Amino acid sequence: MATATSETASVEEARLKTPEPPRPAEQVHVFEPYRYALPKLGPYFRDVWSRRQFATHMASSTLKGQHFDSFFGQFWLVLNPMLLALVYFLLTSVLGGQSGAGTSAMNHFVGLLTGLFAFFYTRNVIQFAASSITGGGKMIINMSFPKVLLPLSTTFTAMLMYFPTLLVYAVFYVSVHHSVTWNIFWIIPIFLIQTVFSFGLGLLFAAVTLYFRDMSTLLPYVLRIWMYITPVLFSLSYVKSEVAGNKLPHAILAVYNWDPFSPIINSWNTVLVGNGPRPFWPHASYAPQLSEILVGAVCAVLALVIGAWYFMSREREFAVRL
Amino acid sequence: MSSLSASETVETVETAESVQTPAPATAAIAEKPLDPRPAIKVEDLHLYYRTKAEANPTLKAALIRKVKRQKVEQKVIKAVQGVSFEVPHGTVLGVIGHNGAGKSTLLRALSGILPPTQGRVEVRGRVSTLLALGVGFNQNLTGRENIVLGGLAQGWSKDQIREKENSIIDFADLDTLSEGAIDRPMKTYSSGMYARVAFAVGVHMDPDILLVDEALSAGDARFKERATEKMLELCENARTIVLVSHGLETVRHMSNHCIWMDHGNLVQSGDPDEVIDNYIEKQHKDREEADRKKAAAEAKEAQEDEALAAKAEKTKEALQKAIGEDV
Repeated sequence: MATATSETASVEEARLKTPEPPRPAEQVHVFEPYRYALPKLGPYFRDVWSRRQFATHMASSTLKGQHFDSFFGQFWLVLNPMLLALVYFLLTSVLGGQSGAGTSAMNHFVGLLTGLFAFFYTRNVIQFAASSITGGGKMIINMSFPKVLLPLSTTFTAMLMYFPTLLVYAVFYVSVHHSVTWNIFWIIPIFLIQTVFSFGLGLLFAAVTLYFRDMSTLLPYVLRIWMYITPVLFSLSYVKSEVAGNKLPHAILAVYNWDPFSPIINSWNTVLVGNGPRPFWPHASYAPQLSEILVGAVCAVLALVIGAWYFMSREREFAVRL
Repeated sequence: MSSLSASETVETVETAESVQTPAPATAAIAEKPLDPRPAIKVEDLHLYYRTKAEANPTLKAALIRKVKRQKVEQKVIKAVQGVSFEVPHGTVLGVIGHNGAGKSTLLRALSGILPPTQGRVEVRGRVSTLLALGVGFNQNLTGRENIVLGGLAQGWSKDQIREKENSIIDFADLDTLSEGAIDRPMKTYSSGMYARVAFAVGVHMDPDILLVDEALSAGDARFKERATEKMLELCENARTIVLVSHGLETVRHMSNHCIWMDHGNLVQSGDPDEVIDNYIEKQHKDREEADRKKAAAEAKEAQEDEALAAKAEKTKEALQKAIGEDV
């Protein structure tokens, strides 16, 4: 929408004796040339809010269209990340020899699931969002609406795909970890922070993909590499202990320290499998570090602000670019 | 990356020179009692497309250009150049013109999809667009589910859609074609059935202003009739409709004002009969001219052929003389 200003022209209305057809609360849209700048945020977000059902309904419809609403559809939805987790389990236990020392194979597997499922969620949010604009061409070129609804909708899609896997995860989790403390409720704010962070990056990549179409080819590799430099397959304390024992170079710690996703995923791991070098370490603490959560939240807000600014200041051009 | 702002200079211009003299600055469409605030007001609208020479923008291509220090060649296509008009409430405005005259671009500018390069568009009232059929539809879902989806895409709430759902289904009238089709996935629909549902969703959204692009051409004769009826009903309810169509008879029948566009310029604006007749006349002239040109070109070619043949004959004779009678 090009500089759309909606206003109720009630003052003008009163001056006219009888407005011919009764048009209550008349909307006025003015479209003018623009430069790269944010649209007026008030009307923009009012418009987004009034169309919120569109975003949520499109998300569930997308899944329904792929038959993910049926039992077997859900089954595949869960099976896919499980199989991937199995691949990484073999990778880390057979090649890395991780499971041998101090933890059972099952503990190790659940530890892997913890990080992997969370990371797959972020990966899906970013990847779906990245293709939402180039994929929604017909809608963008034929309708005027706040484009942020499209990545928002794919984010809901990713969320709907994530929740069933969380249920399965819960079953595995309870089977290896019998006692649960109040600390477990930290997963809710951490999940929210993670969602904001992923959505912010999703917005950024959604817009960038429009200018560089091969980004959609490049992105899976970027995300795969990112997984390795984030404490997903190996916990942060495991890496720290390996570095202390001179088995790994010090540079790796620096990489982990500078990764903006690291604090979020590490808090997640801490709350669920403890902060020991192995999952469910006997003397591990399950309380997340508040400083880490704070850093994660700041990163998330930054990602959202940058992503939203880049996306929204360019979205009026999307129809021309498609 | 280029912006669409007005102040930027234009590098290359690619439009065929317009045959017609550009229209006067403002063509007031209405002679009727003028609503002081028209539904649509377009002031000196320009809309240019910048097409880059590269067909698909990729990071790879951008990097290669960076290394080779090439610049992207830009072409500017002037889809709409300096159009001004006003549409009072309750007008059915027909827009005619040949392919690529800028009709659809104009419609997209009115609906706020494409930002103007220059000029100003003011639209009063709730706008519903029917630029393409089935926007937001999901082929894997049933017709009923897609009515909800299409309505939500048009900016309606689920409650509002639920209220209208039955009348939409009645209007689309799929049962006469195939029993229970509304609850089957839309991928099983014929294109006409698909168009019916899509059109039904579009016109039931109760807009103040409806922008339609060629949608009436959908469906069979009977549905067309009903669609026309529905459109007329909308007009009677003082709705404003902008109708882009190649169906000149549809425009003549439906609209009470008409504008003719040619190469992004407004050629004529006024009574539909008058404008359409002029348009047809112009088309005839163009065709005759094209025929004449073609004929002239053919005649010229024939002449050249003859000349060439004569020349060859002469050469042959000369050769025969030179070599003797052996050839």
